Amino acid sequence: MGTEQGISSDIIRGHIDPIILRVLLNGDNYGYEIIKTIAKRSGGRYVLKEPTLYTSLKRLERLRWIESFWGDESQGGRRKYYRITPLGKAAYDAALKEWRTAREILDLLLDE
Amino acid sequence: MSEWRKGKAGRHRSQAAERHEPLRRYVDDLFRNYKPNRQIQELKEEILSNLEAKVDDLTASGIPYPEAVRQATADIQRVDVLIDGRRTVAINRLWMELARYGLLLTLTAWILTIPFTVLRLGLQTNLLLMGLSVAGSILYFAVYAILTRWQGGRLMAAVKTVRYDAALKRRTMVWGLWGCFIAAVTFTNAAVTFGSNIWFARPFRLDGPYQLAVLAARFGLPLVSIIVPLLFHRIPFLILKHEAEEAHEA
Repeated sequence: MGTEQGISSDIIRGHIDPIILRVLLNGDNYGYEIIKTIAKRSGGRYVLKEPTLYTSLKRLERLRWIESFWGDESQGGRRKYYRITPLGKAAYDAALKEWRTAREILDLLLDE
Repeated sequence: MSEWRKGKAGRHRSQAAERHEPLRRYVDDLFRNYKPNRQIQELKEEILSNLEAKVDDLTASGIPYPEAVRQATADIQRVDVLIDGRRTVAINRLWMELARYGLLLTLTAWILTIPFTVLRLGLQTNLLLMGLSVAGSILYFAVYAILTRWQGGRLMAAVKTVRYDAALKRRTMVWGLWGCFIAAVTFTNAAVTFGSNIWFARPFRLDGPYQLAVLAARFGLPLVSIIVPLLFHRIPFLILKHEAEEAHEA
């Protein structure tokens, strides 16, 4: 599993909240699968670590952008699933818009 | 038939539990310093189930079980950042800013007490504050130089987990203590100043500006100690200000 260290990793980690919201938009999910989905969607170039995941999930739940419920597993311990709330969807839309604007401006300012 | 299904699921569950015993032990160890409450228990279950899922994936892709456990647990070594009330802060930056704030207060107090140097108590207080300011400033700049030069300035980025909730409680406690202190000092001063008047039922008279200054100094100078509760009051704000992302994300 490859991780990109340095600035790009920090920049991505700064957007972890909308990234997780985006994963949950596709459907309810739980911790490990969220990490897997992010790794897959980024082509293995960004691997979210557990501490960051849990901190973000806690923050998102406190903001009521996601809500949690326990799954009923046939094997192993019970899993905590998360689903996005309407508030979270609105927050995601706003974050996406902000990111697109920032990207546009940065491209203009940084490119040759 | 539902009995049978329950039985099979039950067997599955206990088989899975035995299979992931090392993970269960690891999670218990992660939380060894915390007293069990519902938040902790739920967090443990969540972390355990995610670790189990990860190990299952790794073993399914051919990695031997012990190595899978090692890989899975390598990514989560500490949990104090996840417990409410705990925050990771850039600790040296926090101390430096607190020191700056303290120096500012001490310098201000020194200047404000200059008019009182005509009185002995005022002069003592003023000299004390001057000494603290000068010594504090030298110490501050020395520490700052060390922190920024030593090991390429890495010390400034050092992080530590601190208890935010404890800092709030401490703040309230210090204000309370200071209030008691001031009350005690004021009472003592009042007894010394007005005791004779009360005892002999004499009206209190101000004989002139000098006596007024003495009174003002006697009652006012202890208030300079407000610097101490002000420092503790500042700490929660500084914790939030210097909150850092977990350092050294691998």
